[in-house]
Amino acid sequence: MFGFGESDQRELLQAAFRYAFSLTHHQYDAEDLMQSAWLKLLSMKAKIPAKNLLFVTIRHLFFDDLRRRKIVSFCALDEAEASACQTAKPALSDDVAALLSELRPEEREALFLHEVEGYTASEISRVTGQPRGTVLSLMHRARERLLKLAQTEGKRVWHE
Amino acid sequence: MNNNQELSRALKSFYCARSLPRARVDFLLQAKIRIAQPTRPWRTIPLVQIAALTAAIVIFLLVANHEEYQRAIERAVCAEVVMNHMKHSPLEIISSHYSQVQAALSRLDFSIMPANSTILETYRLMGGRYCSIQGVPAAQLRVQDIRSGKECTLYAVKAAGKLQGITADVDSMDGIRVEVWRQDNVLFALAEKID
Repeated sequence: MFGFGESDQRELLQAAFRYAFSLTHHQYDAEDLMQSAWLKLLSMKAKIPAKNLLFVTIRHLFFDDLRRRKIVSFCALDEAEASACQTAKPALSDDVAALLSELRPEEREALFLHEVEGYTASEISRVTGQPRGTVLSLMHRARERLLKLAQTEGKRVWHE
Repeated sequence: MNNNQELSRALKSFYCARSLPRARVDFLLQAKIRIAQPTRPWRTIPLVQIAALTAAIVIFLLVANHEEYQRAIERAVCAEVVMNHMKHSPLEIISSHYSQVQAALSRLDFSIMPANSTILETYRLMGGRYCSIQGVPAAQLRVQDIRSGKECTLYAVKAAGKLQGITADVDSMDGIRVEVWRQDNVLFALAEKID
């Protein structure tokens, strides 16, 4: 019907969700982000978007929102709202999640695209719009940081 | 196994364990079907196409308007040339040499002599006087067709102001044929009676 099997579409949605998750590091934020990007592209094209286009759209939405949040600070009106207004901490319990939460979104994103999606630095550069050298540097720094943090905290997370 | 490989494996396993809930996946796939449903045609016309169409119409109107304006100027020049020709005003300088007429019409800062050899060979200069075409100072030269003996009027005017856009034209009005041509920045017009 759409030249794209349903299982392919489900896989595409899952891949896009994981990518969104690498940026937000938060389950619900990633779900919302992924949904916004998906609906935005469908409303524009009315057909299944290409994976890279979906990734790029997710990225733009995420960083636009991040920029907006930095400019506009939301102030709670009362105590109850104030507690709900705390910066969202990753709702993850395992050690890898805790270590990844120490990285910047760009670093997590580069690691995800390389390690999980199997993208080369040049391909990541095309999705993120950053120079290839910056991508390589981001990946290197992120790896170093994760290994160092794991050593410092004496965690053997890699042997789960 | 070194730390880097272990880190890669841990990251892969960590991210692959995350998934979008099935209900959300179903919702998004349904959204795709809803959006893909045919809608009213005007809703499917992208804004960019509307903008392109509007721009095309505006450009077309501007071009059409410009051409209309240019045509009106050409007609006005033709009418003025015919009117001057029919008035048959007396000459200020009588000479068969372009250089002498040019010297007499010293206020004109351009050459009044046509470069077209056919004109020079076919028409003999009789004299000239000042006139104006569309408010621009011009030379009105009386010439005689050597073949027929018919008197014609040759105009030379600087292609300035409204006349700038005129390049070449052939028109007729009140039994007078007017041929206009451009020689560098000078516009020439030859008016002669149609037999």
